[in-house]
Amino acid sequence: MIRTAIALPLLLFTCILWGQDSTAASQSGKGALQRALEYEIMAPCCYGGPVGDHDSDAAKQVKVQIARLLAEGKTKEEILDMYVAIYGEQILARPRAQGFNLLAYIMPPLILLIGGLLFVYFLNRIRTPAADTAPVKQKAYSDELFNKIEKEMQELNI
Amino acid sequence: MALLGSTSLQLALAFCGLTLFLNLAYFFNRDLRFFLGAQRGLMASAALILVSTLALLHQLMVSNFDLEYVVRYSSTATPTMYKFAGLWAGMEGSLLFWLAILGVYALLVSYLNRTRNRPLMPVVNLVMGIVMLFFLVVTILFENPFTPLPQGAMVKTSGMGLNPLLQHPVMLIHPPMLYLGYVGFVVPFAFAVAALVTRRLDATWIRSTRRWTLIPWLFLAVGIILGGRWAYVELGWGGYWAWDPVENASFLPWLTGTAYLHSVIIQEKKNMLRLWNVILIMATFTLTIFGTYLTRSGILSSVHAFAGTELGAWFFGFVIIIIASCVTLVLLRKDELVSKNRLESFTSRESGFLFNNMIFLALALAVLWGTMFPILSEAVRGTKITVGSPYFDRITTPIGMLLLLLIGVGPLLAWRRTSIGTMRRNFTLPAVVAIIALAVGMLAGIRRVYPLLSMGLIAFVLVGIAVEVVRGVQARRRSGGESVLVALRNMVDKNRSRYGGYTVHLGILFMFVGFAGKAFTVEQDMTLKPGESAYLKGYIFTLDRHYQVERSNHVALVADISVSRHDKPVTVLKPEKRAYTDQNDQPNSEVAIYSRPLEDLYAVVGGVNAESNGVVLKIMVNPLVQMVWLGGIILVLGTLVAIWPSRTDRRLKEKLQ
Repeated sequence: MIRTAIALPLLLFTCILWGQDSTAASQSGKGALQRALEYEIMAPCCYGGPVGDHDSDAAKQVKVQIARLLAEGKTKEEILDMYVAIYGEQILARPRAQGFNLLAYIMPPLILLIGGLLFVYFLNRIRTPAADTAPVKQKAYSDELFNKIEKEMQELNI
Repeated sequence: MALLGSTSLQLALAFCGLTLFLNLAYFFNRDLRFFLGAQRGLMASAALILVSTLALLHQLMVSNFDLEYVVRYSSTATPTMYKFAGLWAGMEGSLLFWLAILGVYALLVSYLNRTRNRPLMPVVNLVMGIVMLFFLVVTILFENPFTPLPQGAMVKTSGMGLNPLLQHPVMLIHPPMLYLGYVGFVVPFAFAVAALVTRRLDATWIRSTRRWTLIPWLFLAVGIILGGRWAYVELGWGGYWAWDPVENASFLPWLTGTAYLHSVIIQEKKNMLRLWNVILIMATFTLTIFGTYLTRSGILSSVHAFAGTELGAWFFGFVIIIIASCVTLVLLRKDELVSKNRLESFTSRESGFLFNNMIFLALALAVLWGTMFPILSEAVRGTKITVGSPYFDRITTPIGMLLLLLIGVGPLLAWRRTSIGTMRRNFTLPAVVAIIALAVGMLAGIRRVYPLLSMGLIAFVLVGIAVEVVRGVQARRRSGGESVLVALRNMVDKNRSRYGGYTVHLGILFMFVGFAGKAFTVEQDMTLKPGESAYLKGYIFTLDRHYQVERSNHVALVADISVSRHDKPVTVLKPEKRAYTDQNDQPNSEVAIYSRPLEDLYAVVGGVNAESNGVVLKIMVNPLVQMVWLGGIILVLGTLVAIWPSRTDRRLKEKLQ
């Protein structure tokens, strides 16, 4: 009971943290929304990183476009939709949490949760004193054989 | 010399095949001569691989453009030290370099175990021989670095030169470190397989491979940190970790290796988790080969990956064979891997280690899942998607916070059982300081959850480690009347793995401080004409002038930027934009960084606007980045403390001699 009381809240707390945004999107220095978008859209030159981190001409163009679209009053979703329509889903730095791609987000917390439950389960199991039932099997190499090997090696001076 | 290299490689293959044959012959008739022959065959094979590697190095140094590899990765204009780096710049050379490191490990393991671990060594040699044979076959058949340049090939007679991104001093150390880490895990893996095959499943193989595990783990950690350093100073985006698939591929075995290093302590002390440890080291080795597959198959796009070749199928096949063999072996021995001892309490250090293992594994699986998800999604939906750093940041940060908490909690728990009184005594001070740190953070205006939480947890762990060390020193002083320094030295020497571990934790803590600092980065893109200034986070950046410099293999545009704060000069930043003349004028930014203890000033030059004469600049103020590198140094020191033999070990060795 104590185990569950300690382990599960920890895991739940972690799951709640998953709702928090840890990306560089909320850095200061530029309009927060523009900054967020720059980290949601990949540089279309190579798809090697978000435009916020990229220095290529294509990335610079996207940054200028984002600023213009925001100035025109477009919302974040509208801008992202626009880029998806042009470049496909690959342009998004992280998949949208819908349909099959929802799995990308569900699996890590699920892994942690299952791991936590297994941890509590195994802890209960391996805490129970049990007779040592592990059968003792004959070693693949007998001690006698190894003594022989040892002796031969000494004879060969190695 | 090329002929020598090529012939040595083929002879190495022949010797390796002979080694495996002799090893199998030994298993069938137990004639010791076969074992000795196999051991010497492996050593000969390793020595021949080293000869071949030196031959390729020589060809790179003398710019022998008769070889296709030398043409592609070197040029007459390439500086000598980067000709050296050409060894691992391409697929063929890097495979040979991998083999060379495996050869060095094989030689060392054979030599250092010539009178030790005799029951295990035939299988250890066999496993290392099989891995060596695989790499020799793929190198010779598909990626031979000694392939001559095809007749009539249209190439530059002065060589194509090394990729400018790789022409950085860190690139002379980062790849070898990663390879030393990757390849090194073959040793504990081979010992684990040997323990399973010979049914010698007590902690002997764990003790025998403690240093053999710590060393590759350290190399891998150094490789990863140096890779981050290279990205920070060379790529010009102001970050050090991008969750690129190839970066992830190096991080995965490090995570499982770290879990293994923690859980073996339980096996050594309590003879528990025997099955778990075998699985962890097998997973770690498999992930190193899987990482090699990711890097060399071309299935994932990455700036670090080699161009896709037919090697992918071979590596994939090898990974499948390793997994199948490991699963079979574990299933055959599972009854003997059942632990004889039991956990006594949930609130014990053993449980802490187990929980920590679970978190490390969850983190590894989450990173693996994110890395492979684009392939899965494309296979299922037929649509390409990207899983980039925003996804990984979101997924891994909460698990990282949980790990940070466990780093603090674990050492404060007692072995077997922690009483309520002990918990109160151990946890009160760290918890109070953590709460104070949180309050200070809030009063300082920090409102974001992760930086605040990091502050609290870092304070908790730091005080926890300090309490442990102070108590240890006090206990020694009380019992032996030693001075503080002598008590500290003796305490560390008595239990190097423990205090080395605490030092590593301290290093990780510094790194987390650096990670938290990323949340407060400020950057600005600007175009400045000479004499113009811009203000950013208390600093004034003034462009003094811009000019061109011609060097041996590139032309650089340099911008001199004076930085001042409160009317006092701070530094002059000189970022460059280079065009590499031996690489068809390929552009590359050379970042200018001025590091202060608490923040870095970071400048990148994009180019010059010909019409306005304005220089396009990106300026960043990156707080606490130095803590990441400092943390890395502390991690290295801590691991060295753990690896270094204690005085008792040394005395014992002297007596035995």
